[in-house]
Amino acid sequence: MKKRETWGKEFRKQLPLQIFVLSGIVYLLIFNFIPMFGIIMGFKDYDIVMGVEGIFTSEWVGLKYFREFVNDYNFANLVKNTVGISLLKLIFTFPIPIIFAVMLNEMKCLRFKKLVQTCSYLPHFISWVIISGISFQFLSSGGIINTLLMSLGLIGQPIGFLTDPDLYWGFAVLSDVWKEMGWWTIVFLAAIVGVSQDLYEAAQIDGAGRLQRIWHITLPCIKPTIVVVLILALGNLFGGGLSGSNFEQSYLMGNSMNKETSQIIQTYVFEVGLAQGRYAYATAVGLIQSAISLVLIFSSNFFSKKVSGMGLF
Amino acid sequence: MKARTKKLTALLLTGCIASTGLLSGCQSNNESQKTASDVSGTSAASGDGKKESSDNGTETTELDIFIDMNWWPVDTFTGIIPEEIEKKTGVKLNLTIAADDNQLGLMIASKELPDLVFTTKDLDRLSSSEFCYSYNELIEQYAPDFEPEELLVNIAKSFSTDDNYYTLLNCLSTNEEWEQAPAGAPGQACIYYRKDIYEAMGSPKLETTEDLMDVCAKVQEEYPDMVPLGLGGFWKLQPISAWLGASGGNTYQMQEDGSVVHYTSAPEYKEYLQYANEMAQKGYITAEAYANENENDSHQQAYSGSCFLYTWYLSPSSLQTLNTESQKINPDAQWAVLQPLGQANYNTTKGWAGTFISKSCKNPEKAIQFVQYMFSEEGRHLSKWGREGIEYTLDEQGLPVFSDEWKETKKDPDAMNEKYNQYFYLGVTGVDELLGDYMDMAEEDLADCTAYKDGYVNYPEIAIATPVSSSDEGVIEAKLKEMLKAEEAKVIFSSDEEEFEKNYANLQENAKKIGVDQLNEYMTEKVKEVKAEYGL
Repeated sequence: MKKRETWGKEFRKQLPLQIFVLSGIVYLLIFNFIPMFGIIMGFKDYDIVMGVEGIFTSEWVGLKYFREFVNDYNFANLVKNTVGISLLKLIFTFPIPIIFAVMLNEMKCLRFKKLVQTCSYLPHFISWVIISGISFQFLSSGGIINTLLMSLGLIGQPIGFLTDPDLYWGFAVLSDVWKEMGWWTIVFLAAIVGVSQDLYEAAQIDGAGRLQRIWHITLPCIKPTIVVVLILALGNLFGGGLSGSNFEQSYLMGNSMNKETSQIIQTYVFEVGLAQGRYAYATAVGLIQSAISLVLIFSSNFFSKKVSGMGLF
Repeated sequence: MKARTKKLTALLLTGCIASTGLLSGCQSNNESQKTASDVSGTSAASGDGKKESSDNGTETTELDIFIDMNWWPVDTFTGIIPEEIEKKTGVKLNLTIAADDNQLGLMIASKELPDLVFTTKDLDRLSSSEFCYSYNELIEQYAPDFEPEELLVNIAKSFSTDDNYYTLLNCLSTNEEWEQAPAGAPGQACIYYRKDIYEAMGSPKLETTEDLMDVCAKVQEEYPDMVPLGLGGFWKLQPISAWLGASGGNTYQMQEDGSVVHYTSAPEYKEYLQYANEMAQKGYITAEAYANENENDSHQQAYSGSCFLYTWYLSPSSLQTLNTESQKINPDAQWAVLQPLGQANYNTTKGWAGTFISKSCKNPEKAIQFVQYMFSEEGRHLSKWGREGIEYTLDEQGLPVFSDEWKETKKDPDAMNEKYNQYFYLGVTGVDELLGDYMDMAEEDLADCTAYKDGYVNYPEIAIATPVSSSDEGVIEAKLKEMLKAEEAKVIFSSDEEEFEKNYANLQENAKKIGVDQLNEYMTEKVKEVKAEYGL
């Protein structure tokens, strides 16, 4: 009885903070947990004309749609593109903000540092719709880049930046790095700012050079932040890692010419589920991707604990 | 005290944010839950639609309409024709134009449909009591004197999910009606060419597809900054496909033995792809133009003088637009219609687009009465020809003769859209549209356009037999379409013959995997059934 009173008292004391937490829980419940009932559609012969009750009353078809997807002529290509683009983004977009943050931290001129920081994170606020429009202006056959290269005599024919399937992956990764690098740099910069200056002073007295200080102090001190960000990035690997940009990029910059390398599971789900109205099939395909992502986040957390002794949960 | 105020503010803010988020997320669409019987009490007098007083003193009901065509040239219900329609029906439309091909699918999935939907796609999904009111029920309740043509009703029932019909398709005319039409040709893909440049090159022979290749070579040589053939978004290489005996943009093809096959299974398909590949290898078409699906973006290459030939929809207004827009940049630019260079095109149409009255419609009574008017002779003629006695009069053969003011305005498509606005032809027949487009066209251009009518034939039975999207065959058809978007481009833009053969074999293998044989078998049988049932 006494314990309950204490709990209640404690809760009232923390009420303003608890409300923030509760809001988040309610949000998750309504928008993330309750819709999970819809997963059942992936196992049923559901058609949208059956209405909401059709989700429960339609015929059970088991793994029919899962088998259909795995046997689809495009399955291997979709998985290859999804995994390929995602891994490339992880390899390039994850370490670059760390390196950039360290470099910025080492800058002496505060004004220039702020200018670089501002310029680098501004693209984060531009939507992918705008970026796809800008890309067209810059990279189309009559765009600025091709015109410049041709006028300099470096190329004879325009390069199909937007149509050549061999260039799509590189384009996706580069544009993602350009757009999101500055934003994630702020997170790592914040972690670096939190590192005690005493450590640097002590290292300096011991004769440590700049690179040694970075290697032995800065990076180890921001390791917890790096690990958390890495686990989050791995959890959203198929979504595009840190920026979660895979769908937008593929949908807006993909076309019939580069579809071979630009189509990913998410755009496939969108096209099949919404454009063709096959909600049950799209649910099954989406579920396969979610299951793989779940495995990834658990395994990355497990390995992170093993290697660094730190994990998200 | 200060801390307490802070706490209170934080509490209030959190509460506001949470409730706003929840309320916006949980917003229910109560309107969409209405059934036909629920609305029996809803009338113009008691409806929820916004009302305002129109010029003639009667009340006007505003209805929201989604136009599922991203190329639609007008975005307001203004101009002499819409205003007259408003006077006659008491309905004013608020337009939303589709941003892309997937928007309607998204709206159906979220059940966020406006009052009316005008579309050529998703006909079977919308023909369901889950989303729309059936015409037959609404007619019984609100427009008992509306008697749509039996063929239109049967066609609408052919893709309905139940025994009701939920729309009527416009722009349908029989082969006999097309044949009797005095001028012009049914809607189809064609090629426009720069007449001024053609003449400057000495008017080289241009009567066959081989000649076309030679002329492209000449253009490339004499005008290196120009792409010989520009592609108009969706229309891509459709006219060339038709001239070479392939599908010309149709999904199915009637074979000599009476079977009906998906166009990839027709023997002419490979010949067309080889021709297209030759054009691509020689640089007569560009990958970028092929990849562009947006018609309005594609037009820029023609307007700016970047291409010599341009594929687009055959119509006087397209020709007029090309000339007007191009001459803004180059006053000497002169476009003309290139007469067919091979076989005549065919069509598999059961009509074009239908107007659906969604379950969230504010005023179904007004909506069905509006549709009734648009399908009446008066409504059909008004929407495409303007006001009788002012914009047109009928001659002794019943054909429209247009006023000088109309003809003058038509020379500038933008002025035409602004002043008259012919784009609310929701209920016209194919021939109504044709007469509205061609009766005032210059003789020389008219002859070029009319050449597309020779040998033209429509197979409505193929259109009616097309599988509904939820059936196994419907899924195969959709998957083939999706697969071909990428694979066809790969074949056409193969760098050499070896790669072409490899990519073509891959395309055919994928089509087989998806189930093209099953689809061909189904279509052949179904078309026979439809022909017997409809007496076609």
